[in-house]
Amino acid sequence: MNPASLIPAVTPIPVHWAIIDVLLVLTFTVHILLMNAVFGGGVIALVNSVGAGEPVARSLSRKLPTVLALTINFGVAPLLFLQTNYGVFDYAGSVLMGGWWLAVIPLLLPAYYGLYVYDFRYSDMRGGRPAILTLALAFMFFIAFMFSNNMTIMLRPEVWLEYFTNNHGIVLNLGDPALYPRFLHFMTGALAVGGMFVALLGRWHKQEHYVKTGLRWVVRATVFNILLGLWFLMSLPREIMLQFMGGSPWATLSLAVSICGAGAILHFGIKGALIPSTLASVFTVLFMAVTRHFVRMFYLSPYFSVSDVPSTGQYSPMLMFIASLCVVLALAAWMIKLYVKAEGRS
Amino acid sequence: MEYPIWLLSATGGGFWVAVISILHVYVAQFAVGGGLFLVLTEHAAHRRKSDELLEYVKKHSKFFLLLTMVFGAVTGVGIWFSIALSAPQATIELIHNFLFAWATEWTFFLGEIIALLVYFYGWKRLTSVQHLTVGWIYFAFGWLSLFMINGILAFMLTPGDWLETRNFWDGFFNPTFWPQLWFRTFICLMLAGLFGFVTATRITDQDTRADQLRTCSLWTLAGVVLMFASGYWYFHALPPPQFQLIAEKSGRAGYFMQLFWIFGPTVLIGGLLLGLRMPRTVSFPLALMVLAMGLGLTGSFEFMREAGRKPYLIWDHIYSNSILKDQAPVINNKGILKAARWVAPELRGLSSKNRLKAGEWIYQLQCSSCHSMNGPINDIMQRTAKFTTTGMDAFLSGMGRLNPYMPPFMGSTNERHALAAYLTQVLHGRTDETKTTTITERTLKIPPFDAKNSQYILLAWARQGLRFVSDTKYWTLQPPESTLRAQLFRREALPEPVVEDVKITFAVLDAQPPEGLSGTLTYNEFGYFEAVNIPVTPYEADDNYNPVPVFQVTARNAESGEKLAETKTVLPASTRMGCMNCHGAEWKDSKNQAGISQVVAGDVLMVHDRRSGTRLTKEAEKGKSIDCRSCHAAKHGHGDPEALNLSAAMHGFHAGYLKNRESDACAMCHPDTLQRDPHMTADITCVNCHGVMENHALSLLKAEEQAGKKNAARAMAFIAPRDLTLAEVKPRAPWEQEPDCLTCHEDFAAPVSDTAANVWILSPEQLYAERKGDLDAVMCAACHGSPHATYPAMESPYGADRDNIQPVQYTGAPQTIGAQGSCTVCHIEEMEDAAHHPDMGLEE
Repeated sequence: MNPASLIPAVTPIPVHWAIIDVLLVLTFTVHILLMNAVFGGGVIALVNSVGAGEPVARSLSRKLPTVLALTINFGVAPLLFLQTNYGVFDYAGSVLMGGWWLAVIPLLLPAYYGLYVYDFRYSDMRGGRPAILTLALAFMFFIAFMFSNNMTIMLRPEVWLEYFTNNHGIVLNLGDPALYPRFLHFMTGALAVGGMFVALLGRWHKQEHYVKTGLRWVVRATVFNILLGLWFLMSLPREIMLQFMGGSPWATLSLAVSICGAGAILHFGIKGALIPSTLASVFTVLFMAVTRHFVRMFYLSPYFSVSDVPSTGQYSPMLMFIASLCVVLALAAWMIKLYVKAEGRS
Repeated sequence: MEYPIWLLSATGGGFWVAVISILHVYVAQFAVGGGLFLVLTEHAAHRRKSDELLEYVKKHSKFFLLLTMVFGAVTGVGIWFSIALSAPQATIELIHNFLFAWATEWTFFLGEIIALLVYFYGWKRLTSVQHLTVGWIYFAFGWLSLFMINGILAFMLTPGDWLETRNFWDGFFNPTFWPQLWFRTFICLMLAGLFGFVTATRITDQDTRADQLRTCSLWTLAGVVLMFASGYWYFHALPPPQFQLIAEKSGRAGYFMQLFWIFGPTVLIGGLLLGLRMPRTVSFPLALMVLAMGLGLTGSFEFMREAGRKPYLIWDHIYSNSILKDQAPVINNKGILKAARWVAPELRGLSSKNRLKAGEWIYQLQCSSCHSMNGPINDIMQRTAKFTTTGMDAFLSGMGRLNPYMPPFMGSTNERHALAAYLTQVLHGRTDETKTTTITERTLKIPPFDAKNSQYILLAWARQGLRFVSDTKYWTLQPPESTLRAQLFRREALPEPVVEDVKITFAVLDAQPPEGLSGTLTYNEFGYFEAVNIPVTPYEADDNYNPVPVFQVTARNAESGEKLAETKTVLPASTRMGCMNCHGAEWKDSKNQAGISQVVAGDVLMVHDRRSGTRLTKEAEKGKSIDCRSCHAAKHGHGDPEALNLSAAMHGFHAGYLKNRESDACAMCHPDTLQRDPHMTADITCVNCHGVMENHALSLLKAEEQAGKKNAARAMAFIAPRDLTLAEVKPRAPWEQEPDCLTCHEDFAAPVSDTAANVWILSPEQLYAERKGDLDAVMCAACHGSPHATYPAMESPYGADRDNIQPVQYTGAPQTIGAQGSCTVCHIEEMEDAAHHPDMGLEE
């Protein structure tokens, strides 16, 4: 049976596909930065549960729920844009792993509440602190793994054939050798960005030892992650890997820029230059997101090219979206400014 | 069609979507109304300079954060996950059409959480004006989220012009956009008031607590009143089909409508009493109970709205099982197993070997989106338990028309059979198809006839050669009331009917309990003897089943008692009406597979009650036996002048489930083993004379429509005529206008056609059963036998010659009396002319 025959029929999208792809990559970048901050920050808080680093954990505990709230919010947008352009693949893959996928929701709730308990009850519970945080992190780890599965099973229609022997929604993409380095690459990246988050927090609270702790995490995790990235690259199907080694000039460039970005993170991180290091991190994550997008396109290329998706050309609703985004961002900036300015009053 | 189906059993049928959605909608609506509640209460606290109240709002804001932002946000994403898993096709369709509505909603969601976070963490940091401003922004974004999602939700129920234009704005600002927006806005107000209730009970200061409870109750009341007003507007803005589904058609919507009306006033009264009159006595548990009422109210509304959308996910565009309406013709043409993308390769071609497996796959494709298996949502086990395989198949064929809340079955006829087999044989282990009964062959002694010396000849027959009777105490369709007729002739050159000084009696000979099965026939003005209301049933005293019991008929001199002539005949009566195929799948008498069981009788009444708004079940439970004919006029009956006659009602309703069939449609309810005439051997079945089910039903309904009965047109809307236009279908009255033998047997000659349908006799006197020959003396049935069992009748499994007793008795062979030169049965001389009717075999 030809797996291509299982790919659902494509239906028209409202605007040019490239607009949606751009929105997808941009919003995903924000999402992954936030997710990294909450997970990485959580791990750093856990490691610093006791001892000299404990104030770092306390500071983090106050921020983590808010970062998770924003992570979830910024997860909605890229998933929406992904489903618009690549929904036929994502939905088919999601059904295959339906049970695991839906489990994300009931596990996200205790993780979320766990972070709030960790914050609101911080001083009340001593021994329970690491336990509740570990639990929240474990749920987040699971959720991240499910997302990795979801994002990769959609790229491999040949795995979909398993549906005919198992349609209970419990198929995962575990047979994919690229899954593990991919997942670990993301999660290690989270530790680096988490470190960056801690460092920024320290700078904000004028606690320079936070900055040091944070940057240490950034440098170590990034070094390790370069190795994981290499493993990830090698684990890709040969023809896809070769695309990043000159086969596709744009993909190669994107990866090269990302690797340079990682170099810049290390450079500034070791020097203790927080702001340049932060900018390098954001820049690197953005280019990694672009590279990831190339990986997706290469995987799907035997079956599908997003440029073939027809558009109905209904642009006016997009104007509504842009207008509302501008208004929301302006008001959000105003409110945050209000809050930040009032710092002294508290 | 395009996507794989996640195999769920107990939690199938949209269970996860339902659970997550109800929880989410409740909390999300609370978030909107609560935003307003927070700022207004904060305003009040500042105005009154009440620290207690300010503290209360602060606590409330934490509760808000934890409930709406965490639970609301996660379950909101959960709805999206769950609909994408259970209805990917519809979800992607919504996303492709409303991408930027969702994207816009996402921006509001972002604004909402930032505002709430600043509000919550900013109690100490911000000035009261700043804080209140942020609160207002929070409320505004919350409401705008509702504004956006409302457009998409309303679109699914009433897509309006979008169906034609496919334009975003036509779909978004659809016919129910505004009424639903206000309706939901007021629900939000009500819910926020209710939550305020609950939290206010935790205030320790008694005065503040009472004050706050009073405010909350007013708040709730305002919400409830406005909600009902806008709800009225909303429901009346629905297009007629959706409105009808909600208000009338769907039993499910009806049920939830009732819930809605119970919960609504309870909340109203609860809010009033608790808050306004006894604010100090309101306890936390009591407030929680009122809250639960509110939950019920919103829950029942969401269910009703869903019911109104049946059988679609997007009205008139995508069916509940995610099949595009436009794809239906392709699926019907190719078959679902070939047309669907995700079908196991070995099931692409349907065969007897993979039939049940294919049925299961078809179930997943077409049914599992709305039905669970042993689960809480539309349990398929419960719903299919009352069908045999053939009944299930008939039900499937009628879906979408007589059950408007279900999509039509889409696929080939064989696929439908496979699905029916899976639902009944695999899920319920039914073996109806293979069950047989043993028939005991009974001996029959043909009565003697002395062709030389007998002075009389006695001909006797059943008025109905094919008769079904109902044997349940719960209702009566046709009671066991058989009619026996006879004619006695004096054998002469020109025989004369004997009408005076003669007594003709009858008595059952087989093992039926003898009560009522003997008596005297009386002569009537129409020229024959008759006994009516003979309570013949097929049940013999020894538990055997015999639908063709033999009766002895004897003519004696009225005065002397001297026997003049004797014969035998059968009075058929079957209790094998096929109601059980769809109404309970069990026979009353399982050994003989016959009779209407209590379960079946009850289900028939229940369905009637549900569809026609009657209360027959209640009446039957009280011990009353329902006589169907008291409303639906039957032969000689006096029904409700507004109701359809019994035949039109029965055939008109059931025809919707029996389309595109031949005589198997008739046999579903009237097993054709009782048709015993020679037509059967020539493969001339019910439909040759009465027409196919659709046309048969339409002919009856058309007459009723012309008689001004409103229900006729409603029933006719579900039936499409076959091989005729509706205008060509000739209306007819049941029992009085039947097909005419002479349509095929022109001038009594050999048949010129095999189709007598749609040509009806004009009056009851022309019925075969009521007609006589040209001499106006001998009844047609006297020589030719009972209708549907005319001579030479088929060999009966109940015993040799059972349906040909008189031909064998008088002519020595199973043939028409008088055939093959057997004129001397009555005439003592050979005859030359065919006096009774032309073409009696005497012509040269």
